[in-house]
Amino acid sequence: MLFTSPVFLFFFFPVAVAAYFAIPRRLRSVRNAWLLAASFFFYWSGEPRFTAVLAASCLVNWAAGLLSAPGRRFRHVFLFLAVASNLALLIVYKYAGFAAEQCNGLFGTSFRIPAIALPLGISFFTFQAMSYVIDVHAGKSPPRANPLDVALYVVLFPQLVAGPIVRYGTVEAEIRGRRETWSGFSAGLCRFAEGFAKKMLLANPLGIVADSAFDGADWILPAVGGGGAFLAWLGAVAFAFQIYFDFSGYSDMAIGIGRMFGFHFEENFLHPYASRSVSEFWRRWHVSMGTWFRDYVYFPLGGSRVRTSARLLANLFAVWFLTGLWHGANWTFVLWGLFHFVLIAAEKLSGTAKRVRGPLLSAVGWVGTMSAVLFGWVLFRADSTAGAFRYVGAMFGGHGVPFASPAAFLLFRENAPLLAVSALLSFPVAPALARRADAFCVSRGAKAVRSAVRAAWLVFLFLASLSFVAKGAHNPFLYFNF
Amino acid sequence: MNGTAANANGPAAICLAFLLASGAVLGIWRTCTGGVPALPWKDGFAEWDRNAFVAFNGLLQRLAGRRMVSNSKNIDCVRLDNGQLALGSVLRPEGLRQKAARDIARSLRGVREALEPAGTPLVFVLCPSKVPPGGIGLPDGLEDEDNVLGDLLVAALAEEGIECLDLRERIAREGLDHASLFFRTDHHWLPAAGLWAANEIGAFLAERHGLPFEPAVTDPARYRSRRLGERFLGSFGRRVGLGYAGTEPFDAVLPHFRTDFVFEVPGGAVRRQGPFRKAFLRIPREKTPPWDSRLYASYIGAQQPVSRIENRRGGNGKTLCVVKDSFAAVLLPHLAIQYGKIVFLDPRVDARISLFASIREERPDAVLFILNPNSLIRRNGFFTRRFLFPGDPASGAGAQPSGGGVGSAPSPADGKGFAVVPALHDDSLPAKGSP
Repeated sequence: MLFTSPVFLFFFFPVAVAAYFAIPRRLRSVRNAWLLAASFFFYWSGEPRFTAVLAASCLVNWAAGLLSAPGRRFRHVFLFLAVASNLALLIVYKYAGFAAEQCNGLFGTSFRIPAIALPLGISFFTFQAMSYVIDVHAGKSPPRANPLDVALYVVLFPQLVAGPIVRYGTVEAEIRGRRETWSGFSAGLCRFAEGFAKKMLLANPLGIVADSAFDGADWILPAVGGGGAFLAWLGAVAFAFQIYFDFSGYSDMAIGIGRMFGFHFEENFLHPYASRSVSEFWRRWHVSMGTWFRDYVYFPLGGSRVRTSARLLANLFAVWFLTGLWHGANWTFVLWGLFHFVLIAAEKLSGTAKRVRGPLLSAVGWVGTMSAVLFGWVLFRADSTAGAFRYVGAMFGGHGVPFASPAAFLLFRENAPLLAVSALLSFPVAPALARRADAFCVSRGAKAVRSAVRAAWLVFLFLASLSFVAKGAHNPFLYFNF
Repeated sequence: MNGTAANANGPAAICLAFLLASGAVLGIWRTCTGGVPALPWKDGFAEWDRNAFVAFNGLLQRLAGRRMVSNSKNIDCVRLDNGQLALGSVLRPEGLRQKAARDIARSLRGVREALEPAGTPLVFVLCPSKVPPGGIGLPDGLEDEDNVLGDLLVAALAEEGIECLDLRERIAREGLDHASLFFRTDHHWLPAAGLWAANEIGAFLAERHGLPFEPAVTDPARYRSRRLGERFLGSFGRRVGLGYAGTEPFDAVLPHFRTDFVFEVPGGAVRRQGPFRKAFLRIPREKTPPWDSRLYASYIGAQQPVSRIENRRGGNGKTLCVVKDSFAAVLLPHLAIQYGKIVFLDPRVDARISLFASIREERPDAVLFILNPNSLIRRNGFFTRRFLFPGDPASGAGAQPSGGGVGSAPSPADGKGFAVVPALHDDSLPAKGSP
């Protein structure tokens, strides 16, 4: 069930919210049980086959939490078993086919390549489950005696299938002791509408531009089409905006829904395209995944507080190799991760990221960072590594690709307003305007007008987004694939 | 919930919650009262809601100044310079067009060779595309795919010795205004253009094959135009919505002389008898919203695989077998005035129908393929994938579509391919006039 589907918007979501708030606040357990049931229904409606896998994961990790808590015998063994079982789940469902294929290709073996369907959101819920067990083992959080509490943390529908990867410590207290408020509810619903609009009005239309350029990569070559280098650049930029507004829009919706129910998930995107270094980009992009790898992989390996540069590089390599692999069983993702490893390692060893000061260096840093990120997205989006290199070649006129074509200019003209709005919203312009408006509207009347204007704007965005849903427009969620 | 209502998000949240809740209540109510057969949210929206939103979406696209409205990267509705709507796409490989043209022509050669022993002529009638030849009016950057394919097809048909009546060339020769032949909000042509085309086809068959033709019967002066309302919104207009395209008049063209037809869809689904209007036209009620009117289909419909028109006044007594797409909807009733009987097949609707079963049964005096380039390659791929390519792996057979070999042709009833080739080798195909 997609957040942008009519069944979610006009059935599941209103019913889930209405029933939740119909339960008296003092019956916290009943409210939690309802949320859990709704979350399982949410998952079951999209992945009926794997709902049992999800439930089993919750039970195993609940038990592992109890057995690996400080003071328990063999707790290290149980931690190991819990992490191993979670990774095994990922390996079986996500990487087994890829591994068999690589083995057959490299060593001439003849392993049967299993055709295993990828359970929706497996990368997200296994990471959340591991976060629970590891935090309990480390004594950062107490284990939950009630399995339903652990299940609610893992399965909570707003973040279940595409994140953000909520850390157990973030919501630990709120599972039992959150406060639902009208201000939180209204802020959450508005955040949901903003995310919905980002997805439907920006990400989806720009996705069509990106698809035209990437899926027709062969057509860029003059022998067939003649889209030109300009189309290749346009497609890369369009994809950069598509993936940002797609994923951050989904995160906005998830954070907003969580807020309506009284949960406070951490921000997942902090205007990453305003970054002036790749290191900064990764502090702003998919924050929940970045901090997960930092806390559960990078720091345990020693982080940057190691004696030798070689060890530092090894730690970084491990993190970025895994980051790439987490996104999917394909060499394009691994290469994308390693590409960022090279950039971040270079920044760390040279210390350039810390030296970006002043407007000139900031501008240079921004241009360099965005260029690197853009080439990274080409690797990420391409179907194969060969396709990625061919695409990058086309961006620079390789293979005799012409500079431009009328078709590319047409696509640009049609989508120029969207690209401009996307570029603007990639910077913290909207929050700055909101702060200005807050400062300007001090009287009661002015505040009322501001609220009315905001309401009208959000209703317009919601209806406009809905019109694309009704039309059945191109509507993929990119991060559902991971 | 605790908290005060005095927050900046409060009014917005109330409005949004109202929209979501009212959508849910409406959906549940409609389902419970049986107003809609299935959950209205199952496939999105109830029809009215969907159309209201599509109209709003069209308005947004129009305000944004977009000339290409896409559901995906493959299906685009394009606004021409003159404001008319057409189909278009970006970056279509040239090789695909050439292959399609060659394959279609080769397949039709097989049909022609099968018909030759019976002396039945085969004529391909190429209908005009909404986009004028040369892509005039398309936004710079869009290729005139239809006409390029049309040109390639005409050349390929000539190579294979297939007779072709290129109506685009007739339009140019007669100096007709291309845009005036078509609806503004649709890629189809007007009923008046259908009458004109019927005249051209009748004259062509008379000149080349001696089938009797009485020009006076299709003389436009003997017809009256009747406006069926200012509520037509073309098929692709429907897709982009009322807010983008608006409505336009639908003028039916009716003969002003005595006619008597039987129009039937085999199987008993439809059987209508009477004068032109009674037999052919089924006009939606006035109150039907424009997006649901389907006025274009009110001429003999558009969704039946096999249909038959019998002229009870006799016409010239000849029988035609026609393979058609939607462009024939406003053409065939006018053509039927000249002829005794027309059997027409639409493989877009059901690819299992058999051209040769109809030929065996009806023993036509001519077989016509009346199609516009758009049907040949883009919309359904029926020609390339199923209809004329039984040799294509997708059709489940291995035979080449040529009249020469028998090979391993598929069964007509295998449900995988339109049975052109199997029937080509069917010895029971009778000669015209045989008992």
